[in-house]
Amino acid sequence: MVKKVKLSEKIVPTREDRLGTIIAYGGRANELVDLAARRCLKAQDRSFTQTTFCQEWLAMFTLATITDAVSIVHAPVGCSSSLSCINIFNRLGHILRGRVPSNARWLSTNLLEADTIHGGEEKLKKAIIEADKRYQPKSIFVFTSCVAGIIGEDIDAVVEKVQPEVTALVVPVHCDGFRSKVWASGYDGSFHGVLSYLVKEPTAKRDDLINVVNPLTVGRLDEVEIERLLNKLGLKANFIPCFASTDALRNSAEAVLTTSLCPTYSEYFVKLLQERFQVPYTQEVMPIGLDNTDLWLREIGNRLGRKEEVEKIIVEERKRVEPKVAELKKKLKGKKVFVSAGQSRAIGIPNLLADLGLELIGVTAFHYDEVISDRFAELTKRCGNFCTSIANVQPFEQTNILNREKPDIYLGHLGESVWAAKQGFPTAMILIYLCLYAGYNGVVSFGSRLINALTNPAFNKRLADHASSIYRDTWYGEQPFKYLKGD
Amino acid sequence: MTKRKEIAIYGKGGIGKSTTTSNLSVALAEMGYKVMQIGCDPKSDSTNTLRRGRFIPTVLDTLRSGSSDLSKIVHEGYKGILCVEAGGPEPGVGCAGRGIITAIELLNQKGIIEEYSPDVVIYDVLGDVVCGGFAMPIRQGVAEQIYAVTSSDFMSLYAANNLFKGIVKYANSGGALLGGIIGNSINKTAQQEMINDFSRKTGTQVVEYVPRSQTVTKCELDGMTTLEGSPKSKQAAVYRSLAKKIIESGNSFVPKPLDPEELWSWGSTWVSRLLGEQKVAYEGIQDSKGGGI
Repeated sequence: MVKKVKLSEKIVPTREDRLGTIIAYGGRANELVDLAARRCLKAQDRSFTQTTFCQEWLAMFTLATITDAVSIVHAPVGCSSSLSCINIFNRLGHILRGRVPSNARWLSTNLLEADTIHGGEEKLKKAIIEADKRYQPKSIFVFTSCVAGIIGEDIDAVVEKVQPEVTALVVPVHCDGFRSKVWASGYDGSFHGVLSYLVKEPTAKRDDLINVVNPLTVGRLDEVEIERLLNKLGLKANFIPCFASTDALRNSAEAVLTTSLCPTYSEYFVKLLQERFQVPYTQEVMPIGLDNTDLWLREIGNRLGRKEEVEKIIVEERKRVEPKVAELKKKLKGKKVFVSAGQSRAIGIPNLLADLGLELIGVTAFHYDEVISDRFAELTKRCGNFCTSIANVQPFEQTNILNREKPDIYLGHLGESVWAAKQGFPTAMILIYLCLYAGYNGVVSFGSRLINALTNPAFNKRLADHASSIYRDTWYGEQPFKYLKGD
Repeated sequence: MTKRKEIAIYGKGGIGKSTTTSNLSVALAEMGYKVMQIGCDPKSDSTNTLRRGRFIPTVLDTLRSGSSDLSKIVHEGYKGILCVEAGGPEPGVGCAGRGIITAIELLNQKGIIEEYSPDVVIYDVLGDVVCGGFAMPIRQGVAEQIYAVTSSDFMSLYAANNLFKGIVKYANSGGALLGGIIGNSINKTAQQEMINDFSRKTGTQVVEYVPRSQTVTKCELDGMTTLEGSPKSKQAAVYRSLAKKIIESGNSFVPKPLDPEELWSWGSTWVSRLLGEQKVAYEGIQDSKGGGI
């Protein structure tokens, strides 16, 4: 039984503790649904695992693109290496928003051996003052790390002490990597800091303002589609936190409602924003695929008492796109597809694919918990008893699964698609800023993209002919879930 | 040259391990050995009584200052004893355990021990084996023998028992073994018997019983060891005897620590007995079983 944890604690409990999140499962979808329904799902682990993400990365990914902020990573310098990657998203994001691209700004306290022994709090204090002086930001986020956590650095106390000396608002973010194996816990650490140190009591409520919580990996094109739909309801979208200003976050309690483009991402934030500032929320699904977009809109309509207007929009939109979808369906029907994605997207994308008539033969979700369990069960009703893997990015399992399932096309993030491409499968990345997935237009846009990938498979085939084998042949004779073990 | 002897002395905080260690160092120096004493306690006061109460710069202070020059961390004390303090963080910050690891690694990397080439190296280590850092001297290649200083106070024996657990952990991978127990502040027969019983139960041996003595306190307040401040005292003779036994002893044990419940129930029986004896001594009260003065 998952323990219920009060949301407003100083440090957010991990998702393992709070939501019973699991990161390891292999089998058929129906079995997973059944185990979850009977609450018999064991917290499995792997006896062999490949490199995966650290929750600190996801914490930084949440806040590093805030336009007038600086990130300080209180850690050995290596812990901030992934910010270079986040910066690629950052620059591209600016371009897509019609801005001159600029770099994300970050500092590392560069904890060395002597700091580990004697403590690094003075160094952190200096870094905060330096960041304030050098960049004059509106907010400064201080990210913890394994080293800071192990030696017990009291970053809350440092922040409190240094705040009177700087102009920026300083926000501690607890994201010590070793605390959680579920990287999504990092989102919670970031949002907890935002809610506790930035968001202010609203002076007035705005009936036309809706917060839309959106992760960095859902791009600007999706935002445009969502904005279009919300405008039809006369709502102004406040996209937070990525590429937003500090003030957009500060004023988020003024909104009439908070909604989400990714429930896995927004889960903790929307709940806490309601608990502390009474802003209601909806976060049932990602608005990807026709049915899910309908549902996403209906949730908003219900919460705002505007059901009829929403139904009208749904009819209009469906009428507009359904003929185009039917055209695409002719070319895509029956194609076997395998999807790998974060847990919310692992529900959204297959629904979109089902709209287009593809046959879902397998799903890998990065983790699994109550955030998606109901929607996952519904997906099995729509798409059948497909192969299911819960894995926090484990290419060795994926290549083995694909070798057995032999999809016509593989959809995954950049880092995983590359393996499928080497195996010769046509691939389409589900995270590429230049493609649209969300809303009604997303179905049409992504459908066309799938046709491109399916009609031009030569590159991946040629790649597979020339690429050396990824793993030894003996591995493909083994069961893909060989290294899963019970608790 | 005979093989260098490296030992580590552990004990609960305040139990008298630095006092014992420093007197042991002097006694060994008197016997003609070249001794290096390395304090592994963030308080950095292990070797103070060898240098009239004066503090010295520590290994970790040197590292913190950005210098890698460790030439100034070895200071000669009474009878030419080489004094080193590992040092550590201020109370309440950082990580003292990591400090011990780093300090010992640095001493090795910089070849400090080799350079001075002492016959005996004594590590004086804080308290319980509370984490991997404080277990560092037990691990392979540092000390070869461990001595546990304990009084008959239950918590002190509890700490010794924890130390034994640490020794067992590394015993099979070339770590240090237990040389024995040094009973400290022992004035009563029952206290001796209690420590004896503990050593029997844990499969170890008691090397020496050191009595509680005002002479020790007085010399320490003057910034001296007992052997320097009161060399002809009975107490000094006890330390000399201890030194002789340690330098001559080749006995080493893999101790058999008690599990916590066993230790508590054993302790409770002994504490009742000690309290009974105290009653007789101070109040002249005898229980029905007789005994007493």
